[in-house]
Amino acid sequence: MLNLIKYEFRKNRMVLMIIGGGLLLLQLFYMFQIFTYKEEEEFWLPMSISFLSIYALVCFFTIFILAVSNYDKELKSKSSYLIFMTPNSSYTIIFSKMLSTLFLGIATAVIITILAVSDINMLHIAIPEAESFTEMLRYILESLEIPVDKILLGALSALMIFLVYFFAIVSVVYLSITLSATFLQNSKLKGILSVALFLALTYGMGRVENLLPRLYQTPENALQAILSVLPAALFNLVVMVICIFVCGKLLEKKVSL
Amino acid sequence: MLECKNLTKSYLNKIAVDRLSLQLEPGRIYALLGPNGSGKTTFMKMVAGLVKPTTGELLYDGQPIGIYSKSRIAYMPTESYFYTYMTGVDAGKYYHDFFPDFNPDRYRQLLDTMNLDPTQKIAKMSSGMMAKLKIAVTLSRDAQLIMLDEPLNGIDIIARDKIVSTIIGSFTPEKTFILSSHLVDELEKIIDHAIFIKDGVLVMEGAAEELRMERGKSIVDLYKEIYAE
Amino acid sequence: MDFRSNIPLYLQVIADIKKKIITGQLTPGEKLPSTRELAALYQINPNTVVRVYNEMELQNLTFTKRGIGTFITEDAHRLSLLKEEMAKLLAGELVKELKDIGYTKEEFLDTVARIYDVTL
Repeated sequence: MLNLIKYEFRKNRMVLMIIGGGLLLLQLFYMFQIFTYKEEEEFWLPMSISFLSIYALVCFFTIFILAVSNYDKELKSKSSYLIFMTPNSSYTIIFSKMLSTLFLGIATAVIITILAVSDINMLHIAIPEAESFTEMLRYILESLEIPVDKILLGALSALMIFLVYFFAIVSVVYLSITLSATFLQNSKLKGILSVALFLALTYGMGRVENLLPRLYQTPENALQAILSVLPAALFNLVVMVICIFVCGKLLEKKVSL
Repeated sequence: MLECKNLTKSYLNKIAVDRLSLQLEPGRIYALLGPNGSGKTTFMKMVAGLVKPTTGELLYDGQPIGIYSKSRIAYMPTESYFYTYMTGVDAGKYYHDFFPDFNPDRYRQLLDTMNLDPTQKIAKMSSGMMAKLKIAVTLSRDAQLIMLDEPLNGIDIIARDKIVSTIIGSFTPEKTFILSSHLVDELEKIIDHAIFIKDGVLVMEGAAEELRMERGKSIVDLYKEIYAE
Repeated sequence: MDFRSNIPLYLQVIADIKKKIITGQLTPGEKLPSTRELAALYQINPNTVVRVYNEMELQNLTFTKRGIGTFITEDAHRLSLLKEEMAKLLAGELVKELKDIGYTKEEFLDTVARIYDVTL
């Protein structure tokens, strides 16, 4: 399994280096702006902050595209032989792909979070006014009895939900692609059918999520924050697991490379 | 060692393999003969686990195709199947990572014998070089069943001799080779057993020597007779 | 060795080896190549080589020393018989072909006498 994951990353080495390089550049640019900050020339600092924020989204978008297009291309090309000839079960193979995407997604989220936190700290250090601004903001919010911590917790739980949802969607796309290459392989409509299935499943997922209980509208503490996102997170997790298992089963029984 | 009963693979508008029944023994070099599209590749891919049969039974050492069979079977496809970033060295590392029976020294030796530069990118290799690389990487495994799909295609005459010698040199009584080819005359002298397939159906099979004696003609001539339009 | 399809391969290889023995290319007591080596030499299946060596041993033309290899016999009598065998075999084939085209014994002997000294 580890070898399979290794080669999943190796395949994407170029793209990952470019994305990482881009992030590094923007980060350096931001830091440059911070340390050469002059109050009169305020333009580039906010710009670099925007760049970084947009780039964070771009990263996830890229991971999604990578995971999905890689798998799709692979099942249609001869390089799939390389993987499927190895003494691994189809389940191991699809698990390794999902795990690689998971690692990549989580690693990216962690890196971005660390960068965000340190960037904000840098902002405070380099520009004392900013810190006092943040303090003032905090003070205002607290006096209005808006809990700052809860906002942060809310943001964190939103991030976690996003991640789990993101992975669940990836697994649904994997399923559509797998269906197209296996069960539907002899059908002329396989492209349309797999896209239709994807849309149907995503829609279904949305409906089910709406029906899920909302435990705490406004969480008071960390525990409540976690509990409030738990049903949705679990649901997405279950979707992901089911999709991947079905992919494995389909590949095991019906693959035709 | 390898057994199939009524093995069938059908696609949308074609039956690639049609109720094929065979029994292959160890210690033999089999020739799987027939023109393009006769089902040879589909059969090999089913044995390799790349294609799942539509119906019928396919057993290796009494077990269905799976992890065990894949670890003992080496398949060399007709196409180029490596990742574009790979060099010969990378291909060797890949096989080394996944197949315990891969011998890196033998691989280096084979590459050397065939005058291949291991550091060259596979994507930039000519088709002849690619063909040699595939053979090198496949025969460097100590597999029990070795299936070579058109091993001599695109290879110059001198290298063909080297490849035939390598196949002969790799042979042991415990191993089985299946060579599919339409370059029958190159293989005439080394095959034990000939299997003729036409449109996915088994047309004739038997020990090469016996077929030659019974029919009074070479396998090449038999081939021409069977597949003449 | 030219490969002829109507005679079993192993017999053709045996004939080739016999020829080498008669012409002295292979000497009495000389070690023959291993199964693998002979297969590579003739570019044939190793199983065929096994048959070759088995058959030659049955004909008392070779003997095997376990673990070492296969050797040409040193039995002089057997080797002289070999020459005779080969001659008869070649002659037999020739005679058959000549009979097929209607050559008589006298015509044949006459032709042989004339061309024998001239032929290389």
